[in-house]
Amino acid sequence: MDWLDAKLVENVVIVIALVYVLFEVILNLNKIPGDTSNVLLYELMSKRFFSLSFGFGAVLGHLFLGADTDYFYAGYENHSFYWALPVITLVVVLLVLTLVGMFRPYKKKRGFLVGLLLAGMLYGHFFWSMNFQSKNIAI
Amino acid sequence: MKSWISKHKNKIKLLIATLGLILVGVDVFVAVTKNSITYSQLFRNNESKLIWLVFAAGGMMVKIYYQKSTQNRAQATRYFLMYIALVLILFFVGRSFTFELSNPLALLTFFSGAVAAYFLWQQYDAAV
Repeated sequence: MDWLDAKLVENVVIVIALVYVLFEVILNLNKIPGDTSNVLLYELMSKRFFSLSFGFGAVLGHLFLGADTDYFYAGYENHSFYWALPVITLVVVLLVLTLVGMFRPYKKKRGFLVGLLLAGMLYGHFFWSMNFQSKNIAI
Repeated sequence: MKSWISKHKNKIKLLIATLGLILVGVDVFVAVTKNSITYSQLFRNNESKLIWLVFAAGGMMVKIYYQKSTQNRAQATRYFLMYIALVLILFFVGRSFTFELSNPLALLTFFSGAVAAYFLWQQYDAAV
């Protein structure tokens, strides 16, 4: 697939970000309070979908931080599916948290959500790091 | 416009969710088929250019969890423009120099973005 190059992926991200920003500007300029996406997201996260908090943290830790120790052997790219283990674990954790949220939809405290965000950042830093992706050695 | 949005709050949620799902879907597709670079590699390749994004991400997280609101529209606008100016400074710093975004630097940028957004990026709410 030659059409799917790095430039296209970059452009997809840029276009989606621009649409989102434009949309947010419109929502901010109208007179209705509490319709911007940050408020909606917080409402969503404080009840059923508190797992999103962990997910955001994991993405932030993955992109911005990153440890060198490879607990999942995810750096060994020639070793079948090991590269995907951190993501699979993350999805399983998120599914479990979402199920808990579905069955216990009481209001979560802000401190709890921020704690989850920080825990997600630690996960992204230690277990889903980008710093061990270049090794190519058989175990 | 006002009544339209109040009536269609669910559609707003749907649109945001759709954007997020498209974003995640493209990344999953790219990662599984291994045809192109994923977002992680995109970020890794341009990490000094994208330092403004680290700063702004701190701001977005504060907007979600610790949003402050104000009723002074002029002040809110002025402060927000200051925040945009900080982001722009980092944007041009990232364009001008190439450096490695080490963990301490990323954390420092993230949390300074968060603190700056807490004081500068306030939500304007009309007096009810």
